[in-house]
Amino acid sequence: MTGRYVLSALRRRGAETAAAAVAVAMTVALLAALGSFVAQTGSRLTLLAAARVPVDWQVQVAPGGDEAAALAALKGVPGLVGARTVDYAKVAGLQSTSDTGTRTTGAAYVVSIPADYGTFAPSELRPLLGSTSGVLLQQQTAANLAATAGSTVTVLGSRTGAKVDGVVDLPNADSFFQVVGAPAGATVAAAPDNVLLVPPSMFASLVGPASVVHQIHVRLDHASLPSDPGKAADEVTRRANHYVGSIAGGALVGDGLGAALSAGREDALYARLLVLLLGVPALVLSAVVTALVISLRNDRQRRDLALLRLRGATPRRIGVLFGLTALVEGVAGAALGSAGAVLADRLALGRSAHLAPIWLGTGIVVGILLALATELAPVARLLRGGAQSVTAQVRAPGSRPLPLPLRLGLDVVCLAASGLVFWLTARGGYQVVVVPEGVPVASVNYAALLAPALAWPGMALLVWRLTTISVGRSVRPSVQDPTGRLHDLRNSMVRRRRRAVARGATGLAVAVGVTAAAGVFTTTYDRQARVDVALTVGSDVAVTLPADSTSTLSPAVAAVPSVAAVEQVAHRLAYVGPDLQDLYGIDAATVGRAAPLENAFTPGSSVRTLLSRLGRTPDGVLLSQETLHDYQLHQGDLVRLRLKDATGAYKAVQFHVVGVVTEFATAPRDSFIVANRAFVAQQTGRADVQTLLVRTNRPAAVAAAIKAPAGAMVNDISAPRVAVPSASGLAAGSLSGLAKLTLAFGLLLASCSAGLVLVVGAAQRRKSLVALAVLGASARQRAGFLWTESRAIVAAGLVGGLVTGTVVAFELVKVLTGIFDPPPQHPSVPWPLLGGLLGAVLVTATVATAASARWAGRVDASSLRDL
Amino acid sequence: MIVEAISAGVAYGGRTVLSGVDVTVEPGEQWALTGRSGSGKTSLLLMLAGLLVPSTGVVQLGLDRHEIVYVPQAPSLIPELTALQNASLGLRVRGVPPAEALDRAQRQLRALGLDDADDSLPDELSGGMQQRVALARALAVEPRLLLADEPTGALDSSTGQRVLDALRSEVARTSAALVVATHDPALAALFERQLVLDQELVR
Repeated sequence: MTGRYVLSALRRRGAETAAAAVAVAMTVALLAALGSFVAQTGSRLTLLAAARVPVDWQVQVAPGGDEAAALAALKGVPGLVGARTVDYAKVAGLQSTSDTGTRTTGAAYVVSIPADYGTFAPSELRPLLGSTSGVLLQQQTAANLAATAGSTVTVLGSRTGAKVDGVVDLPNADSFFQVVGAPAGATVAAAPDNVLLVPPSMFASLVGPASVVHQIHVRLDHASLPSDPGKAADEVTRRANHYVGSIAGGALVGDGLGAALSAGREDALYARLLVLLLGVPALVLSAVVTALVISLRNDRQRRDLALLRLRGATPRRIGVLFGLTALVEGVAGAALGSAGAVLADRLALGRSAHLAPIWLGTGIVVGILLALATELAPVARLLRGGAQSVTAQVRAPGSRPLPLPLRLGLDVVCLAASGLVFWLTARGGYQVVVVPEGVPVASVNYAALLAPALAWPGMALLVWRLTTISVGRSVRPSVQDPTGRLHDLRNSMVRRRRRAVARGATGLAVAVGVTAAAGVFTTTYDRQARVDVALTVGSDVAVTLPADSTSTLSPAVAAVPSVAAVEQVAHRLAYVGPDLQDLYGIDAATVGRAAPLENAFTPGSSVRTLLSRLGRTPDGVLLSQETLHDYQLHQGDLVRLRLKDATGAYKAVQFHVVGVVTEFATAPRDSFIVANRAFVAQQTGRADVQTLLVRTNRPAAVAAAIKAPAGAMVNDISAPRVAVPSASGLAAGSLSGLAKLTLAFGLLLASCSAGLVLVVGAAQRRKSLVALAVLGASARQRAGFLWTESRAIVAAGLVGGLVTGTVVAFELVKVLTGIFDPPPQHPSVPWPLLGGLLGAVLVTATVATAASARWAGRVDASSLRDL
Repeated sequence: MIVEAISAGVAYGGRTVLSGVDVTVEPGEQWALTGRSGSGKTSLLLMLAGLLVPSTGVVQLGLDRHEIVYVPQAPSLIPELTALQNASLGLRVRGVPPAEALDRAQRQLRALGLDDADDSLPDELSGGMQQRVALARALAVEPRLLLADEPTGALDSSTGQRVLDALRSEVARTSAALVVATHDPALAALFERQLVLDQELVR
């Protein structure tokens, strides 16, 4: 009998059962996908962080140490993949003779690498010209010596020459030439400008008596590392310590892998924070929508309950019958949700993604419990004799006081607290996540997260309050109603249903807010990531010209179709005291046409103001914060830089400091100089430019169309090889996964909220609509009552949602500013997404209202007898 | 003839509740419709109101659908509208201007003994008062045929009598026809014409 009842109940309520199962599925899918995202983020970040390390360890044999013993001891290191011996020798200089004469460099490094080193550590060598093995010359050195493949290079002091087989770039020269064992906090030495890479067989004869540093470059198995970046870093460090101990300190380990994993901890923490701030509100909303859908049939449930009681069913039996019905819906929803979770996981996190069984199980259990609780809670209330109070609640639409949180003013309290915490966080420079390098403990300022965390309930309650107030305004009775639209009665009805309207609008506002906030955050992140890549490349397209090139290519590049602007940049090396820094000669008036510039790059001033000041000051110079600090320089101070003139000799040139700059196209992150190109050319007698920055909306096509001379390099921001990994860049893949999940479910939830709230409203008023039909009201008049309420809910929900999304997104972008590189000037608005969101909500609301009007106003035997 | 049922019958889900009913209501007639519970009184009223299509036979209306008002057994007031707004609703859906509708509705409320209930919501009224608001709503439109299902069921006997008198006199004033379904023989006895639904026979 029980089975028959359950099957019959499910069949009779086909649409309600399907809606309940879909709603449960939504929660199951979101919870399983979100949980799996959290579980996978750590391991993804670990693998990503490890992948960007060119060489995991650089083991440096102690002076007088036993290289063979150090190499042998490595075999005991867990997860060893391979090891190669690399020797470094610093020599007085390199020399090469060509048609233009003999050129000599300053101090240089000769490095011995095995023939397969390019395969062993592919990201250490980037082939530019000729062979990738044999005698290789670094790009800058080749330029300094005017040498190319086939040229012969000699080491000063050695009579042996080496014929160059190829020219390469050393993209990770800083780590390749790192000082292994340097104390923490020591100044990082700049990578050498002159490098000759040779096979081991030639090394000794080339370097002669020069002192040699012996290193062993090591690669480890990354797949066996713990999934959490922090734990992986600790594990790698422990292995390194164990190794050093096993050879009694005969070698030091440059632990590049450990350092990279340590940096990944920050990304893992940011990802976790984003789940808290974006994912959890979506999850809560999903659960609320599910409960709302299941509660749709409360009226019918009451009738069924009354019938069962009349027929003598005990409360326990009624509980079993209703519980089994809910269980079937929950199980069906869980099955559907599991499939949805697999799909969502694949779409958001990529094909390699897989659902974490523990999270899938959690999602299924939560979905089923949610279905049971939502179905059984009202039944329990009714069985305890609460039917009267439930009915009373339905029948007293306007007479109940405001909900307790609003009476207590929690909206104002939450928003004030959010503003206060935000202000305090802003004072502290938004340092939410602090991961000191080399220190295993990461610090998260969870208090700072209170700002957006409190903004959510604060804004939701505020939308509730404002909707209640605005909808509850008294309605002036109409004097005339020639079209019979009953506007005054419709408004009266909505006014007295203001609590229900405010509840619906609040749910919709939260759904819209979640989607809008996630959209703004993602768009801002994407934009900053693009700026980051553009900074690395220089612009949309950058042409790096060979040394001593003239600028005759500029008009040709400007003539390429789709090119919007071309800017010439003269790259020089200048001494600031003993420090050699990159100097970029620009045209201050026009550089902004092609170079990516943001106000965040010029602390204390806007980019426009600073460049204008530089343009007005011919001998003006912009310095890095570090240089200003180290040399105690201030705006207006005189600074003398030494630059090479046309003869190749260094010449002191006097500049005036006009400001500070933190980032510039193609510039390194630490120290660099920006000056007026014309002044630099006039002072040094050299007008050559090294870089052309090209602004275009078709970077790949323009890059392909530029006919660059031999030796020149053309990069564009769409080329994969320019995607230089950075600390925040590591998180990009993972964060985009979270953003996709939140956006997709947000859109779904916003549409469902709009539709369901309206359907629920119509269901609650079905009896009234039938009564209106009996009185002779036309279908249009009856539908008008639903449309008025629909408009109120959708308008308040959309406006409230957009404002909520804006407030939360603003706080998120500011509080999590550390995740952006470079920091954004302002949040970016995703207009297409917002347009799509508004469209989806409006279409859903329109369809739901129209369908409800047809259904709820239908006058048939059953509805008439229910009057 | 205002409305005529010829061999009319109703079946719900294959179960026949009424069959072979022949009845004609003329202008100004006042009928009492009686019968045991489940005999099909409500179904017949709904058919005569044009709200329910007969399963068998035909029901012919001799007037416009807007000239018929059906008052269900439960008051079926709109819970979000005041008593006065509810009472004016029938007029408003027929395009009567708001001020005139309110005025006419107010008069009907007064006629049925509701002097202080204009601004009350249905939830604040007793069941009897709600029923009187529903009757005021029906009478305010001055229908040519008023079909009332147990209109005094929720009222005490004296109030019921008073309301029924008001109902009958108002209907008589407008020369409308009235059909009242009731299970109360005493109430039915007040009507000159009675229609008894018993074992599907009409007397």
